[in-house]
Amino acid sequence: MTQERNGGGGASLQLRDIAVAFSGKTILDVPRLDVGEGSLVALTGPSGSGKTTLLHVLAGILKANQGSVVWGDTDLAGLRQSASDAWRYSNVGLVFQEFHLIDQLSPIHNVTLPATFSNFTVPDSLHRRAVQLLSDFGVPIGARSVKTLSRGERQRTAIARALLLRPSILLADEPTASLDEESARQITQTLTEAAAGQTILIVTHDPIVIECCPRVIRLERGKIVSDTATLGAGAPS
Amino acid sequence: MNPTSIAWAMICRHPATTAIFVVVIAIAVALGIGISAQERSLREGSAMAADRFDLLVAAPGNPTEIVFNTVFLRPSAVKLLDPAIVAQALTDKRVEYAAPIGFGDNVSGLQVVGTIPQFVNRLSDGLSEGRMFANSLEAVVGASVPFHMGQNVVPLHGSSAFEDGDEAAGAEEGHHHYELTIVGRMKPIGNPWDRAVIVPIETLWEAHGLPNGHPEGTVQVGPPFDPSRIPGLPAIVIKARTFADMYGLRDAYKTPQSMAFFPAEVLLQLYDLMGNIRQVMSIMASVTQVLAFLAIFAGVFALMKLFETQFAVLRALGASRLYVFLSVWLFASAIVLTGVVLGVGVGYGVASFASGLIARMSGVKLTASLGMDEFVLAASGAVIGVLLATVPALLLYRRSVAAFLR
Repeated sequence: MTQERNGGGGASLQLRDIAVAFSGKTILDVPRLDVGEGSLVALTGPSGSGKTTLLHVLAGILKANQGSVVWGDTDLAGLRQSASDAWRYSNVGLVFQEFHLIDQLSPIHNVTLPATFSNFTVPDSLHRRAVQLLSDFGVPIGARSVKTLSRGERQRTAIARALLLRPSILLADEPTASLDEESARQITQTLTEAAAGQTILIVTHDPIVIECCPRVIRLERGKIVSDTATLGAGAPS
Repeated sequence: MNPTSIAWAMICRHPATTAIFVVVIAIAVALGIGISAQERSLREGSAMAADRFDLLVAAPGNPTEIVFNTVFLRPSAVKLLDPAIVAQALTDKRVEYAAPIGFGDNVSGLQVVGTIPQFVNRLSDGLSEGRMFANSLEAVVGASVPFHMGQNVVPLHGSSAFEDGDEAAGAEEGHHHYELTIVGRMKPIGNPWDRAVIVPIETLWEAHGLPNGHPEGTVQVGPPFDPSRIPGLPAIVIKARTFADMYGLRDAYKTPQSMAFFPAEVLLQLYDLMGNIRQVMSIMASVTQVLAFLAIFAGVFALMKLFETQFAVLRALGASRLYVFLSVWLFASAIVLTGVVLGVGVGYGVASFASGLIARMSGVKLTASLGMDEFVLAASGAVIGVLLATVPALLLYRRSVAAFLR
């Protein structure tokens, strides 16, 4: 499998005094979290512990009620909605548990979709990259619709979509939760190999994913209760 | 930015629903287009049919009935014009010709109309085949009459139109003791005279035992007529020598014993009535159109609920709000524009079909066409629809992304 590397590498994260509350109830309270460039981090914890909320805050999808989220030189708290969208477009790749592909489009169209957010036609270079990614990930490029793909192939298509624009940050929300064990292993390998060098945070319950991550952060009731360095297979050598 | 693939994916995801939306809009638009095109087709067709009937003189009564009698050959029992008035009109120095129009017989259901050669020439601008009738046993047929040159036909007493609605007249039907030879065919003129058998007026007068307009024993077709031997008539078509004479003649024959009018006057009244009906129907069609659009956009908005997560994902992937707005707007606008284009086609098709049907029934040549009115109607429908399409787009545009990703 080709090792696609982000040209500029990953981005560092400095998160300070973040609090998110819904209806007066605090669901995320993280005083401090630092992640170095090119790190591979698992965010784990029981359901409702605030993992996905933290991921959304890190992606700039959700504004925290207080605190700062600084990726590299950019403080997301200071960005307007449109600037936040533009930053996410340029810097973040997202992978979801349920893939969220457009069923009516082919794998290649799904992967190149982000290119249409800013271009009328997909540049040749991005089209070639999409073909390469799908080919590397073993996804049938000729499929007319992603509906015909297996769940594993669909998730690999979603990962290819997330990697198309060579983001410096890759955020994945339970990417293996709906897959069988074999597919989960393949997806984990795909993620950690294809995005090596990028800063990767993966929300997961899956031991297969956790064991690959050199750093595991556990949340409970919106707070970080442990932050452990492991000997994960994905640990930088 | 190019949201077309998303709009296309939305269409493909719910093809049946999208098709229903398109069909509803198409029907609403077709209604308006069909009414408008059909009304114009009737107006233009009837105006063309009456074009060469310059001035009509008839016994006092209903001018509309006379127009239907003489122009559209839908005879009804009308009072006959006093022979003295007929004689005066036929010999008036201001007329280029005065064409007596007589009915009463039919050949195989086709109207036999009596008149003079000058009027046949005026209607048809010469014949397409054969020659003009030269005696009272010869006939010229309209362009659509299936008789061939030289064919002999035997008229029956009674007008074909009477057979449909006038039982008393139909009961009088019977054979005459004369035979006509077809000697000429008119060019198509786009009115019911295309389906008539035209004979010298003298033929009808003689067949009904009346003086034939000429001195007894004289065999003559057309003017000059002998004023003392002219019977009453349903109507006379007059062509004046000058434009001023036309108005002078109209005034001269507006007497207690006669009425004179331009068929256009009657048609204008009919158009006015048709215009009012059209206006009411157009308003109804417009209301239907607006209701259809509102129903569609309520439907589109409901459909958007199913796409909320998809759009949240797109936003999470970095799509701008404008991209999401344009995706929904394109989807809704595509439905509207397809519906409008289809509606214009269907409306035109329905108007053409209706025109063909009416033409077959009446003999009046009707051609449905799309004019500026229809294009304005369609364009305004499209503009309203495209503007309304911004509503669901704006509503979705403002949704929170995180809420739909959870």
